[in-house]
Amino acid sequence: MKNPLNKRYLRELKGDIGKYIAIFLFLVFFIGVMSGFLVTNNSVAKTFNEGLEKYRVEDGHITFNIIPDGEILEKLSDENDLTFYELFYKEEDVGNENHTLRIYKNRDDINLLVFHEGRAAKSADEIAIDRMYAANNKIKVGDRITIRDKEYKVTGLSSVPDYACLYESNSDMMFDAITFGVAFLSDEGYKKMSDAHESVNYAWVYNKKYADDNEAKKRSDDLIDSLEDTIKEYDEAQVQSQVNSLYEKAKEIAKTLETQFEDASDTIENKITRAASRAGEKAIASLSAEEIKNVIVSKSGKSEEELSSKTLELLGLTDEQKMQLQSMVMSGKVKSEEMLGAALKLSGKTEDDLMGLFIKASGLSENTVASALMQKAVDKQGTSIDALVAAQLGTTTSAYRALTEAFENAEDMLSDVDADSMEAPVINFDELNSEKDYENEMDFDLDEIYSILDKIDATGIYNTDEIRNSLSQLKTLMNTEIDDSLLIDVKDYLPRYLNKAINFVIDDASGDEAGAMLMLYIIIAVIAFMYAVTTSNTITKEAGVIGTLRASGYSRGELTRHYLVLPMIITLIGALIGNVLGYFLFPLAFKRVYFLNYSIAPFEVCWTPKAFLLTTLIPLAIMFVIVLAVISKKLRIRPLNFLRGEVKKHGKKKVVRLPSKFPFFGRFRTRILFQNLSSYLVLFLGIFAAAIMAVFGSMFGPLIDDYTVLVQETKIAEYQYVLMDEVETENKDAEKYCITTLNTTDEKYVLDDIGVYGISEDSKYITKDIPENTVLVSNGYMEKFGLSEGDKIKLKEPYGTKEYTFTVGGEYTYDAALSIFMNRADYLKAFDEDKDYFTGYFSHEKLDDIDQDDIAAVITEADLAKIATQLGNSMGAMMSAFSGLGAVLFLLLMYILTKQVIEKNTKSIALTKILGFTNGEIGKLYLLITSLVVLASLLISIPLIDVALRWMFHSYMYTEMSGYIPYIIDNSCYVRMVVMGIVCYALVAIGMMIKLGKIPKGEALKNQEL
Amino acid sequence: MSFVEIKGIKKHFGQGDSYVDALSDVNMDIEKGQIVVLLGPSGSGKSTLLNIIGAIEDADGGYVAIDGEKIEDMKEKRLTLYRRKHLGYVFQMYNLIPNLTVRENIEVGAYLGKDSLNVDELMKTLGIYEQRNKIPSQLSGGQQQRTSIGRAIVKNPDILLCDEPTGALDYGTSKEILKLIEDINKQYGSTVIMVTHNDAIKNMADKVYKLRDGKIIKEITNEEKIPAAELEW
Repeated sequence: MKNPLNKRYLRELKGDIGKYIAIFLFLVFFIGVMSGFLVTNNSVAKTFNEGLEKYRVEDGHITFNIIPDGEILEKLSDENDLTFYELFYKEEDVGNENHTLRIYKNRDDINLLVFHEGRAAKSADEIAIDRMYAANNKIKVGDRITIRDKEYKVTGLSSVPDYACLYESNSDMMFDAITFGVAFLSDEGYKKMSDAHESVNYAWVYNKKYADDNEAKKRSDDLIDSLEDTIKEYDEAQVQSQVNSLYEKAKEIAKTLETQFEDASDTIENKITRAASRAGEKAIASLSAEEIKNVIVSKSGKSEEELSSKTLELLGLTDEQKMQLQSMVMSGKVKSEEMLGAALKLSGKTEDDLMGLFIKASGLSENTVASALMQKAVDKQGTSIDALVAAQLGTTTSAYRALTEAFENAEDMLSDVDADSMEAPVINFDELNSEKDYENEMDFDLDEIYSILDKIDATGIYNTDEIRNSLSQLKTLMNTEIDDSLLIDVKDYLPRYLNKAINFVIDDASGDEAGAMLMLYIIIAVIAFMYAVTTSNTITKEAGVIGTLRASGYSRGELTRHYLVLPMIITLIGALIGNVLGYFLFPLAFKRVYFLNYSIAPFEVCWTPKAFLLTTLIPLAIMFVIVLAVISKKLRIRPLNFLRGEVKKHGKKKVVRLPSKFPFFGRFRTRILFQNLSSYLVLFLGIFAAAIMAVFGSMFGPLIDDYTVLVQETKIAEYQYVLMDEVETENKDAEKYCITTLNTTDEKYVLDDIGVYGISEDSKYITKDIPENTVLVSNGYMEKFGLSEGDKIKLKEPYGTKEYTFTVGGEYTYDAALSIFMNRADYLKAFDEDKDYFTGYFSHEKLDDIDQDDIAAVITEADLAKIATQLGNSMGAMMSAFSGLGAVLFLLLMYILTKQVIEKNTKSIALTKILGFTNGEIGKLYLLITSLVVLASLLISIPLIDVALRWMFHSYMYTEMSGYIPYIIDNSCYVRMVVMGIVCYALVAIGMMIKLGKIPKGEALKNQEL
Repeated sequence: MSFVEIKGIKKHFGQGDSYVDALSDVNMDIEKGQIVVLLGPSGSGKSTLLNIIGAIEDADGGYVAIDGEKIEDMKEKRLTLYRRKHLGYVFQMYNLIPNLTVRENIEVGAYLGKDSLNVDELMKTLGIYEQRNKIPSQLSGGQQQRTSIGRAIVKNPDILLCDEPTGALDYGTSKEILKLIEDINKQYGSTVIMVTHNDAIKNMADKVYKLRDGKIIKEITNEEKIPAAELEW
């Protein structure tokens, strides 16, 4: 025999059809939407996975600064078992609204195009553009667009798997299908377009597929290592070659200099010697014979007589002459002191001969005598030897002296330019801080050499032009920088597993999936609690029956099952129908949403058991567990207590005393509040859940507006130029800055790009003082990563392993991007750049004197606010759905739980009617308290929503999404939510007033609630 | 050994100043097929005793054994089976399931028995066959009580426990119900234990226990019972 209690189900359903229809429809709709969402996601995922092969999707791409040597790619291919495909592109502005098109050639090998309309470009003036970009900008096949002043005819609207989501850069927080798109030219058209903005990009595909993202990461890490080694090896060789060449040239010049210095040295030395000789002769000539004789006598240390005697001997007179001299002295014709003169006459020799003999007689060397005589002559004239030599050289005494002093150091000086010892250093980037450090290896002190040359020049005795010319050549060589343009630099490296343009569709779907399922389960839990509360009240109402049945032998399990069946059946049928709709109806809408947001290939909807599991079995399980827990707890009461109407587990209810001074109506309502506490608690929880949905659904509109304003208010400059090279401008408004991009290292968060600025001293654009050796951190960065002053932040090179640690010196209000700002000097030191280095200009004016080909990018207000713009475009529809669901949930909960309160008190309401209360007064008694609970719940929800959504931003959006958007909930969102709640409740209250009016007075006279 | 053996049953409520002995050392022996009336004023402990026999209330001491099986030793699951197998309950307030018809309410009882009686026959016996498709709110008090008796006896229980079955009924209807109980006792051989404060009803019983303040003050065995239809009060 079937359990006759089963017959109650249909009657119970009929008896409370309003409640069950409301819950049923809500479940059908909600589960249908979720199921449709999952089915569509699954279909997209299936298409995506199949598309990896079908459209030959890249496993990653690398962008170089120059076309690398073929051997490099070959080496990388061999080492990593992959194949490279050339995928160069040119980025050009389109129109006047800062639109950018990334233009490729038609593709045959990789990331293949799918045409949604039209065909590929065939001739040079044809172009195919991305379907999404075209749709957002109302471009149709057959239209014409202008790029670089050339007009192209649009022949097709396409999508490619590497831009399924139009991220201009992987670091963008949000994709941008409005101002950024991709386009495809014929080979000829691509060739004809200027190469100025071309990027040397290669896609790679592993020859053996990887199993999952973990393996993809490992392979990517290996590729990075291989890439680093290969490029380092190549660049070192490049630098070595250039350094060797420089040293060869320097060596040649050094050899010339050696010869030139030797010539100069010899010439100058000869000139000085000759000048000194002439000066000596001239000086001595000014002395009288007597003076000379005195000098010699004095210098020799002998007496004059002794020297005279000796000189006389040296005259070599004959005996006859000696006799004559003797007689002349004896006769008194010659005095004794005139004897030497007389002897000279007799000998027939000259005065000079005599002086020579006199010197000989003194035993002094000629030089000693010459010096003594020189000194005598100088003393006599009151001058110096140097002055005399300088006069002979035709220069000043000081110049001559400086020259002679400098020559004393000439030996050392010449050794500096020792050509034979010059060896080019071996370039090794690991040992040098950078490739530019080779300059330190060729470190001549040319200033010293120039100083000597200046001294030579000051004397005018030698022409140093040739030497100077050689030195100038050497100096030029020394100042020659390595030609960076020949070195290979990785501008972009992105493996597929990290590529948002490829994966975001799937990541977003799975991310949204988790959020959507969480929401579904919360709502199911709320409905389950609602069921539990209403069933619990039914049990209370049917306490006598339950007591009798239990006393008659019905087990607790049988009764539990009995009360559990209806909620489970309603949920099951709702879920099943929801699933059917989720497969046939809702995917149409979700498909449309996908095509509105993503540039994906067409796909067919396919059913997935996962959708059934997540939207049917799990909700059923949640419903089962919650309702079972509540019912079984309630039914644990002993049969006798049921019979006595004591449905609280622990004895009779304690009556709360209310002060008698309290007005009657107030006490009455308070009693109703206590009586329905569980219902009101569920009502509050439901209102809170619905309110979160309503606020979440409405917060993004104002948030985007507020964020746009913040971006505008905190922008650094009207224009932020990023240059290809260090190009000067005449514009006085422009201020140079440096920027590089580093990556975050905090593993708790998804990887973020951080703009690292080097700001000029006394900047008029960044006016806040930046403490030395610290950085100012943008407010978004501080907020997102929870930083405070004094913290250390560790960043790393995007495509390398080098890490940088900075100290937070303060916060800088800049909302457009995650950035840090440091002093220019600190920047140059940190990144080892030259003192003249810069990467762009801040300017409030447009810089017209910079060639477009030299500009890598101009960042304007529109660019900064594009996150907000795209968020608004892509999330608008979804957010409206959230608000709508919030409103439906409001209505459902308020209707069922308010009805519950009324039905629970049917007998009392009938009694009050008999007592003479009007419907209005009864409404005040029974509905006003519910109204107050609704209003209080709405108001209490406000701070709780703030806590919940703030938590969601920090724990989900900030950790799972790159970039930053501030957490702002405009007050209008709360106002809207409260108004929505009140309006929903007003509708319910009107319905309940009607119901209340229809309660017959006879109800009060019944023995029991039948 | 009696069919229902009640020995030394004790029960108290409250503590301290509010301590009350609801039952003190109550002993009874009831034979199979007897009609037993527990008579006494309000608060005498008769309903408590009935609830202990029906295993919906625990005694502080003593035991109840039915057909030699002590219910104190039974755990929840066995107690449920015990009630299912042996007991039928009739209450003053009927406790019918509001959205089931008369027939279905009786079927609720029939579902529990292995050898349940024929529902249609029973309804005819109870005089509610004509009302079989009505729901309780469409019935009079007497009809509702008939239905509740039907639900209790349809599973053919060994013992029918009736707690003030006529307490909410008028004189005429009360007599009809008592007659019905008497007929059932005769027809199905059920042992009937009935709680009442109506002194007149004692006359239809085989045995009467008078209780006061939780004690049996008198045990009467009626040698000559008066048929229910002839009872007067």
